[in-house]
Amino acid sequence: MSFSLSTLAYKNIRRKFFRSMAIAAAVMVVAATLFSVTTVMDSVETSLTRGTKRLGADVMVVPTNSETKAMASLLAGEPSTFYMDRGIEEKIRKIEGVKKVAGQLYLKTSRYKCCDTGDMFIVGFEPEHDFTITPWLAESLKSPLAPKEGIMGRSITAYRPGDSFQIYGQLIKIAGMLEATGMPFIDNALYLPIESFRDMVEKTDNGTVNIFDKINNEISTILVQTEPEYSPRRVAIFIESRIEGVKAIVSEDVAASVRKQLFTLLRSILSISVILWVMSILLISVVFSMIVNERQRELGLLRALGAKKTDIFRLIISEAAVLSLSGGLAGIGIGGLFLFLFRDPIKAALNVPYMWPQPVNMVLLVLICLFLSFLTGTLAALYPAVKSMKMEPYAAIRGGE
Amino acid sequence: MIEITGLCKSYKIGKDIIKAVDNASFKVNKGDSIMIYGHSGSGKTTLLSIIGGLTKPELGTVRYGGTELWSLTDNDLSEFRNKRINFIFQFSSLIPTLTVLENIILPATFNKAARRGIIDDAQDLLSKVGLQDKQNAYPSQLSGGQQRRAAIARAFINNPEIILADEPTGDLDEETENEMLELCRKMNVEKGITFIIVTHNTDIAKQCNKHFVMNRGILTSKDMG
Repeated sequence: MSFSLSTLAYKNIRRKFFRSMAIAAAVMVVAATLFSVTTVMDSVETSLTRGTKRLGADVMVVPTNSETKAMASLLAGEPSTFYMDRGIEEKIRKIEGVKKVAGQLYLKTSRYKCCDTGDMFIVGFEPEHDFTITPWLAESLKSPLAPKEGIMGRSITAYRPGDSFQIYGQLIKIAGMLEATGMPFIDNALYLPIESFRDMVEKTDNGTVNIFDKINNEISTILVQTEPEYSPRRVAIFIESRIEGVKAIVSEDVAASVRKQLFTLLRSILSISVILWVMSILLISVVFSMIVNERQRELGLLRALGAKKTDIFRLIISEAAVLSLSGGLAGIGIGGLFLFLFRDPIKAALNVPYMWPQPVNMVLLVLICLFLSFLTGTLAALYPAVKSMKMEPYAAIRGGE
Repeated sequence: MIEITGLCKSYKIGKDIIKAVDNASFKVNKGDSIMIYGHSGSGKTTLLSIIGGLTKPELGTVRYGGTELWSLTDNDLSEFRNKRINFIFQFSSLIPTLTVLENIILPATFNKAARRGIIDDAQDLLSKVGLQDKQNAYPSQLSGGQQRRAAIARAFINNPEIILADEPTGDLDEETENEMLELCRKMNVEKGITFIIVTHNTDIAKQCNKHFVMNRGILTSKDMG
């Protein structure tokens, strides 16, 4: 039979089960709120960083009035199609401060009319100008893309490189796969060289797939990389002032504006969580003061039997630590479950792709939340613990009478 | 063995200062059984607490052999209490969340060296106080008398040199009281444990070799004839 101060702490926790659960629940609420809010903040940050980095362009040029659709594609991963004259691409290439230009053509396939895979987002790109797709290939291509060869986003798991499948009556071979980005817009798309795309259009029965009529001389987006000495914002102004009917979206502005908008909201929630945290510390401190007063005689008795001041301190702090860590663990679990179950409403509310943080960030968030939970209980119990350890044994015994 | 010299302790109650112990001095030899008799509020328990290292006197010394108790650091004092002194309190002094057996071995929690064979010792003491079948019971499952018997058993667990007993038989019926006093007498004779007993009960006086009376904090020796 082994018996230690930890056994006594454990038995004390069980003594008033409801009260112990109430303390753990207070920590749980704080931990759940902190964990879910910080996880969402980290997700948003990751999404924005990845999204803008993945886009690889400093400026994204879209037809006027299509910027909302473009943003929805970029941030929320909603496939959408919009078109402008392909000649704009050459005009942009001549604008001061522009280093690279690559056009992309978007097509959202429709169910029953398309392909073996069901609905799919097809992106036609220009391999000779591209600087946004091929750099993200998981493995380099062995040779340049041949006609009827394409690149797959990572989420299309039905096919592997080397496989072929039907799309609008054409057999397309998968030459490579992109790295996972977590952005549905990118991960669920098929990337075809723009000329193969148009060739496929020409050979397709226009009566069945009439959308192809529109895209023979059109393009959806023009991605621009700026010269290092020119700011993307300045180049965007040049583009908008010199070409009519286009909107030049600066990537970093998109991220910054979304970040500002969302983080204002999330920071407010986080501030409320911090207030909740401080209140929990005060509340638990009051409860622990009551517990210590209630057990004054027992603590005096322990001192009479040989317990040192540090034993009394350890006893109270370990009770608080066990309760707060349990509450913290439960809170993190509940917070995680909440994020998982309500990921769609959260995604809809935030209007950004919902991505779990990187594993390292996730572990860090869990550890930080656990540490804060531990701190909640131990800080709350600190004053009662110090007070009771300083109490003279006889005064403690008499005080409990 | 124990030399108590000029102990003083007072309490402030409102504007009044009450002298609980006023210049108390006496000597205790190894194996003595000392009774301190007095009315409620006469300062007996305070005196016992000073001798047991539970409350610090304003003046005076408590010398155990060569060790002046109140010159020890708090940690050393705790260790001293754990190894050389034990108490029987006038209240039910069992921890309610622990079983009877766990309560008995509680002092060993603070002294790793004392853990070897502690369970056997505890079970032996429980049979001596007639609670061998209650070792896994919780205090709330025992009567007041049984709780007191368990507390008396705990007082012997660390083989103390001295037991300070504050009204040790207060809750007990006459028969159990006699059994417990007989146990204390046997421990006193066989193991040489010194007892200082604070009580109202003059029957205990018969078992003690030194007697004192405490009145308003003043301790005087009394010849019981």
